Amino acid sequence: MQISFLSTAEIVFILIAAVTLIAAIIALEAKEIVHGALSLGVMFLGIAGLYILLDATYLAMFQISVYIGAVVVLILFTIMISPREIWLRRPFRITPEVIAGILAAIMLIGSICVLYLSTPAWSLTPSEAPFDWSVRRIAQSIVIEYGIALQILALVLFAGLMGALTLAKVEENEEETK
Amino acid sequence: MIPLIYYLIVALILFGIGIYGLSVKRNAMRLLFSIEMLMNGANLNVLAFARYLYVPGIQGQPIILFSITIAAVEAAVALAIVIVVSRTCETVDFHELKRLKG
Repeated sequence: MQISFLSTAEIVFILIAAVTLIAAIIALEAKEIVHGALSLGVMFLGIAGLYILLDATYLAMFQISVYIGAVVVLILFTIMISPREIWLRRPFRITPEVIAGILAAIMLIGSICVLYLSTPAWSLTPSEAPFDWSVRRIAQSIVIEYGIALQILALVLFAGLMGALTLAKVEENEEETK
Repeated sequence: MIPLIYYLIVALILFGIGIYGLSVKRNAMRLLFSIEMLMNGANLNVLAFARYLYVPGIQGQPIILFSITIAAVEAAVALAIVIVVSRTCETVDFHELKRLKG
């Protein structure tokens, strides 16, 4: 009889996954919204760790620099420049809405889990064939296969940032009335 | 090696937490957190499937790159909207924003 222990990769995976999911719950339920934002940063770090386990190191670095370097910092600045009263959290109560939300999430997770476990894909392991996961391959793929998409993405980025700037700009006459 | 189903279940639970936050929370910033969780769960799902292809390939990673970029743009616009709403209505509780009702 063979006793199977957890391999090192599995232990690392379970630790990272637990940190990610717990940080996600804390991000939603933390009393102070600043703590929630920092916990969201921890969740992004956990996702980056899972990307590294999936042999996508460049994506992990991209995830860290975009999400933690830009999005979380932007969220923290937004929280800081807004008056503090609007972030005060109402006390947590078990209302019908909360029960309905938890039930919806559990039903979604449960039904798709049943679907997963009823297919043979659950024991699939990646092919062990040597493969070049380097950045050069990603760059070739982006520029050659997705060149048009890259250009359009640049335009979307520009339009989105201009829209954000225009929205958040303080009008001059609005400033005078205050 | 780690079976595929582990990654799928982690992505699924993250997605479920995002759904819970979207349906229960009222604060605009928590809703933004939930949307980020949804997008991260979806990205992790796609990348797991891309890594476990029968013939290894790099095809999945550029798509995740594009998805992360779109998510960053969306977060910037959403934060600008939060700033405008907090300035004009002095609340970010979406249940109190009666002004948008028709």
